[in-house]
Amino acid sequence: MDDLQDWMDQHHIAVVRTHATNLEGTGIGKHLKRDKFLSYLPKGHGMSDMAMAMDHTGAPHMTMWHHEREANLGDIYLRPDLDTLIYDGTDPDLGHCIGDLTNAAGQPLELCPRSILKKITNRMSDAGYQASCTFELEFYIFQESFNDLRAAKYRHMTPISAVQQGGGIYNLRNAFQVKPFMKELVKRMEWQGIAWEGWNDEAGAGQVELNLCPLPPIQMADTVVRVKQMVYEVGCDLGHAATFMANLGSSFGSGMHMHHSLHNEAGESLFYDASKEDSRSELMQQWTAGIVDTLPGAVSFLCPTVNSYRRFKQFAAVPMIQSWGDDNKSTALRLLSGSAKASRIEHRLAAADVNPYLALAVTFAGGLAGVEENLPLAPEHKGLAWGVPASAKDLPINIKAAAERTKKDTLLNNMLGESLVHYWAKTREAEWLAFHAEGADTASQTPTLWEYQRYFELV
Amino acid sequence: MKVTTEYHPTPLVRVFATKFKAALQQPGYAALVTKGQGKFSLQSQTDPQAITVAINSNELHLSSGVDSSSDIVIHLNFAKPNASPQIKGLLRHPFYASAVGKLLEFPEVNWADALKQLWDQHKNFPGMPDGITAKSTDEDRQLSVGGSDEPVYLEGNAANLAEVFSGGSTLLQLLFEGKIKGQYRFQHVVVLSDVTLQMMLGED
Repeated sequence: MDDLQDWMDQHHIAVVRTHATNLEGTGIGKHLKRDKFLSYLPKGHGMSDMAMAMDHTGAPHMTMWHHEREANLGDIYLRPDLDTLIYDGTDPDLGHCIGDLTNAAGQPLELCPRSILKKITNRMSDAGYQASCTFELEFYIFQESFNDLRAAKYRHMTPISAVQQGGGIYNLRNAFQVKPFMKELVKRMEWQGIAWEGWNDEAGAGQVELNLCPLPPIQMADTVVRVKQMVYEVGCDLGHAATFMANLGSSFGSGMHMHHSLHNEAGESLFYDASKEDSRSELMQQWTAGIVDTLPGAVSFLCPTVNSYRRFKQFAAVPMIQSWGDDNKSTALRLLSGSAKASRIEHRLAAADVNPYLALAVTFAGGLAGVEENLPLAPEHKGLAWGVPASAKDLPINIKAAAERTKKDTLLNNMLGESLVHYWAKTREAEWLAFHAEGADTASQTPTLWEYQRYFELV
Repeated sequence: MKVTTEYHPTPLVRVFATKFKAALQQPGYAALVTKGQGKFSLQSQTDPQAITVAINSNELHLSSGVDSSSDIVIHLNFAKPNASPQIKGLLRHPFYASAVGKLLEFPEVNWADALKQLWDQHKNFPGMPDGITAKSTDEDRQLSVGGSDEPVYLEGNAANLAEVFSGGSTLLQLLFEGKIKGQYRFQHVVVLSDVTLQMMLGED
């Protein structure tokens, strides 16, 4: 505690913002005076249990029950993970601390996404596997502010960079127009100790991709939620709206590709085997087999919103079938095995509106199931995986169908727990129901006002 | 008569499929359906929701949207289906419109029977209360199902009780609207709302 006080003194921390995420990935927490934050340790502060059981609009889940919810409304706790305590950098008095949602006894809640991921990574550690992972963050930036776009009902949106209207990529003139925003963003990231590799102009007008440096899973997901919050804050401060909404109507949606590899405690790759012709270890094959096998069931976790499914278009850089390939960017999983250092799996299915804790958890759950069940790896998909004839390998491409596949996935039920999987599926069905019942034009081929109002500022 | 739906039916298609399936259990309704052979659409006056019902000799098929080949299109408020529907095609197909009108007057449900059926089918649903006691305020009649260990108590008029126990609306909706009142734990109102929603959507 003395060290903590010293650190806070040294960084002039007067207020701490606590930060957890609910199932939707929404950041929830409080701004606490420093002495109050410290007095709550180690249990953390209480908050209404509604916080973990509400949709993007803040409406509580009223048609699904979980045994961890309080029978007559009550409190849960946000237990700070002090390893995540950092200073804001922009606000000189502010510190940030990420935490886990627990019950009054301090036990992690099954519906806490960070705890779900911890449970899986602990199981991996028990088996001798350590993961290293990173995400590619894609998002759009606009000339207008959030207030402007909200008032205009999201019409007449002007991309911040639109030199190459047709949808180029890596265009340096587009990048130049984005630079003031990105310069501010990476400055704040560096203040907070967030390591990044690079950013570039992406295919859509006003779209950017940001690459983060690999980290262990929990730290990586923590970093993603922090960066997403930071993108929002930079947007507010500079007067530009920025969004992780998965699809804004252009051909190019925003995804969140995940890269991961496994290594042992000594840091040696468990995916690489130089003695094999393809350099892929047996573990990598079984791990991949499990992820491929659970892909249809994982779609609802990786594509959580009604809007996520608008990405599913042939030849739009989004995987459409249950598939893997060697360095193939059209398959759901892209396997890279060039060297021990580079051996990894790129999972290309997740939408930008994904909850990163759940995305990693469901992926690792599939991988672990593959190893534990000794699953055989399906044949590689050779060639382009778009425009292929319909088959049983087609991924579910609407939120209701995806939720049904999730509920039926035995491996995911076993690995993640049946009550969590079923609760999650029900939340997706509620999202589907809301889309149809709350006035959205469900036949529209482009994102509806309902989607903009529900997701644009909140995912 | 078989009730079928489109692949991946919308909620509204599911709701009407459930209504038609339940109605077809009632004597006499099948004859009404036979008279309703043809195709009609129902379109919301308040939002973009719509369905098309196609009836032939042995199948009633529901799909979303307004089919351009529908004989008549009825514009209505799905939340208040009896409030001034407007019918397009009435002059061309007056008899068919009349038959469809009768078809949409779904048979009344007895709330006590519906409660017993709900309990029989869903008493083992996770999180259900030990029992349910319901009282119809207009009939001054009370019925209990299940056990007596902190049962959920619900009261309302017979029509509203019938609506909720038969899956015509969710419990939550009628509580919000003040049409049903009662004494219950938060858990039980959520679980019963889930059950009534599943019934409404015809989920297994």
